[in-house]
Amino acid sequence: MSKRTINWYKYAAPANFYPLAGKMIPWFATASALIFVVGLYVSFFVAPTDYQQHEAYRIIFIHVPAAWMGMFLYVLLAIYAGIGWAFNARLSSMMATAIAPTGAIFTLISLVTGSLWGRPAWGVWWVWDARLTSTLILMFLYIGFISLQSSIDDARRADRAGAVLALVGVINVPIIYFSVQWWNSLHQGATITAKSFKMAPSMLAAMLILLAACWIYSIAVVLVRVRCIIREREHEAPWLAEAEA
Amino acid sequence: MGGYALYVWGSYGVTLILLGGEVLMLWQRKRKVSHNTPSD
Repeated sequence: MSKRTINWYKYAAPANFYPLAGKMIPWFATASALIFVVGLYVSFFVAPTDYQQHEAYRIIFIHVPAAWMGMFLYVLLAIYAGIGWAFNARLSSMMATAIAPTGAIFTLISLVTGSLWGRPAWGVWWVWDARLTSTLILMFLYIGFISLQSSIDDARRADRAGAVLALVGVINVPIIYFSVQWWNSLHQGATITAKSFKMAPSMLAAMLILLAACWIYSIAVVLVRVRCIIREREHEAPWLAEAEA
Repeated sequence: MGGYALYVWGSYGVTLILLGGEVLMLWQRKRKVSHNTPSD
């Protein structure tokens, strides 16, 4: 009786990962679109009106998932960049490069939607409190990472330089998360903790469904982008011509 | 939206524009790379 095992390490090579990613993209793209539709339906037609913030609270269903995605994707970027730097794994570095624009966009969404929420809730578009300021710094870190890599012609040198910036900047993520506990912040505290959640089940469901949609969307776009990066960097490789035939 | 339409629809509109823009730019990059990479 033979024992079939999958050698997962083979997918660390761009030549093996490229076709696998190509097969995965349609599934994640379709799932993301469907889950977004379901999440938006629950957000607008199932979740009740908040007694305090009325209809303005519905911004939370996109603001919170976007903020979480901005932070999660930066940590993921730093991990991939660190692995790429430590083990000279070029696909890992390519993944870090692919993640950065999506993370930056979600961070921008969280800043803009947060501002649109802050105006009716606090009466101001912006305050320099700990959470908002550290999230703005996260946006600058993403822009810095993308700009730094773009400014260096040699791809491997760009990967190493970006990895240094990514790993130094990752300390900002726990600062964002714990800022509402460490400092006297205008921003509200955690709604969802390990022990409890302070919102109605239908509201929580809407938020988590849209978070899932954002995650699956991110996987789809990052896979498309990393395939583009692989083609750009490995365009002279014989395997690429065979893969596209 | 109880007087908050600008803020709520503005938030979802900005999200749609940014995510849609990302998808569009990615599609254009994919087309450019496919055009530049010859295949046998």
